[in-house]
Amino acid sequence: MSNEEFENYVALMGKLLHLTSEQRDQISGELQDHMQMRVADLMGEGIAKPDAISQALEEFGDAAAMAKNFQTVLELKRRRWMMRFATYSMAGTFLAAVLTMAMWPDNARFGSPDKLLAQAGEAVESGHHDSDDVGVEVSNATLRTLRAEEALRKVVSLEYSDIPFGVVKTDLAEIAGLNFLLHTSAMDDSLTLEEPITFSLKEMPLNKALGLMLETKNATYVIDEGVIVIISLDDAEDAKWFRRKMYDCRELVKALADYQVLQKLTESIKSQVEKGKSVPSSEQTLLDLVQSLIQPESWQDTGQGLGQVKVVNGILVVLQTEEILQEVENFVADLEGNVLQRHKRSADVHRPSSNNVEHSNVATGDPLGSENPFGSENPLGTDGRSGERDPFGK
Amino acid sequence: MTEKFESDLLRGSLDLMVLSVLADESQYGYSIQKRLNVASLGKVKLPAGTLYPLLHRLESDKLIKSKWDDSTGRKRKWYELTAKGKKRLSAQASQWQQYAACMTSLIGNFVSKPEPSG
Repeated sequence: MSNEEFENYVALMGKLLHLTSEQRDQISGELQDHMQMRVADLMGEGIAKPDAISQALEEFGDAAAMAKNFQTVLELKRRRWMMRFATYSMAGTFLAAVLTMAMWPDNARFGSPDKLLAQAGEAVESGHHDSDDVGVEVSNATLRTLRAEEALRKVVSLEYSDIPFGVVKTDLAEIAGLNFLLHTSAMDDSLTLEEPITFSLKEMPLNKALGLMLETKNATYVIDEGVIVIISLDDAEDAKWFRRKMYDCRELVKALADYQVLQKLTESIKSQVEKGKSVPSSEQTLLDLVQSLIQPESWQDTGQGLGQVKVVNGILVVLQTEEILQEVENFVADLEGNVLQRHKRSADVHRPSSNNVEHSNVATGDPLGSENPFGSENPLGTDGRSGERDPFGK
Repeated sequence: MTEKFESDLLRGSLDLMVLSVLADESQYGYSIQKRLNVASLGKVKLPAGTLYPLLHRLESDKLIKSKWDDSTGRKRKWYELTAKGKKRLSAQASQWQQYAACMTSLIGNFVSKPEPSG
């Protein structure tokens, strides 16, 4: 079929849209396919080819109108991109500030401290203790999940060359001492037990290695009551596969409330304070940091995602994918390592020497302390479960 | 008689229509247009100038995803629902069902009934 008129149509639309050549080719290819199908259908109805082409073009409508519709979509994309760019710029500034603080000679340490974590509405454990050592009663389901998390932190070297995934799965289950299940959703997306796996990585935590390996097959994993369930990457975005996890940030929130710490955290916050703008609450600051620094698109508040995050009495409660939960854990640990360090030094300077006694749960290695840390306001509920106090209402 | 729906009536439901057409299997632009036309007994004839920008917007919102494929002998862009799209479809379908029930109960008495034949 003669495409002259169609080419003119697309060229005109391309000019109106200011498209790149790649975008133009994509849209043109799609419209051309439509046009050819329509012309073929019309000719099948007995219409002569020239008339069929004219009618099909007419049905496409005015090029300017279509360009306007595309323009609206492109504008939306541009605005999102600008927002993302601004967010990443802020993230970069913040990370530079944190790194500067970390590298400062008088900063004693940098890295993940023993981290108090609460899980699925229950209590938590530090990464260097056995799960059985948690200071409060937790459900068996939570214990299984905690053990699975711990097992996946094991550093491993993996070497597979054209090995069926079924064999790899069994091998990984033995290495981790956990059950692995290939969910049907992953099978729908082409990962089957017969799928050959070629993968090689040395000295890497199993959780990271597993994630990278599955990603090459368009899959990922979630921990469901201690079982490693392999699902498609697409399904992982479905909230039904999200896991709720809690992080004890009471010390961190307290430290963030300290003007001295906030002031030193970033120049941007400092300048806001100096300009007389109100300083966000420490809990809001923590929420903003998490949502703006960790995959902003994945949160309901900042993007199109389904992830949720709240702070309840200093406990950061997150509903997210396995991958992002891992990122949040690392982020909180790093942030706490820096902010608490600075906060303690700041407090030491102002505190009379006779009162200079450390009461940090982290420092004592007791994740929940000897007393009920939540008092009558226990955000996890009296049995360590969130129950009706679940901030997401799940 | 084929009487098209008014555009105001369609405006709020086009996303749902396209998502529902993609619910069962992957489709390309022209097949989506045809399916909508057939399913609506000719009352919904979505012009290409509206359909393609709409598809691009749904993709930008991550409700659908696309890939180019030439296994049928013709290079063609196929669209399919994402997990987020399935969730949106389910939620919107439920809302629309309630809306339709509400409208039916409100306006049911004003709809002219077809004349009995014979």
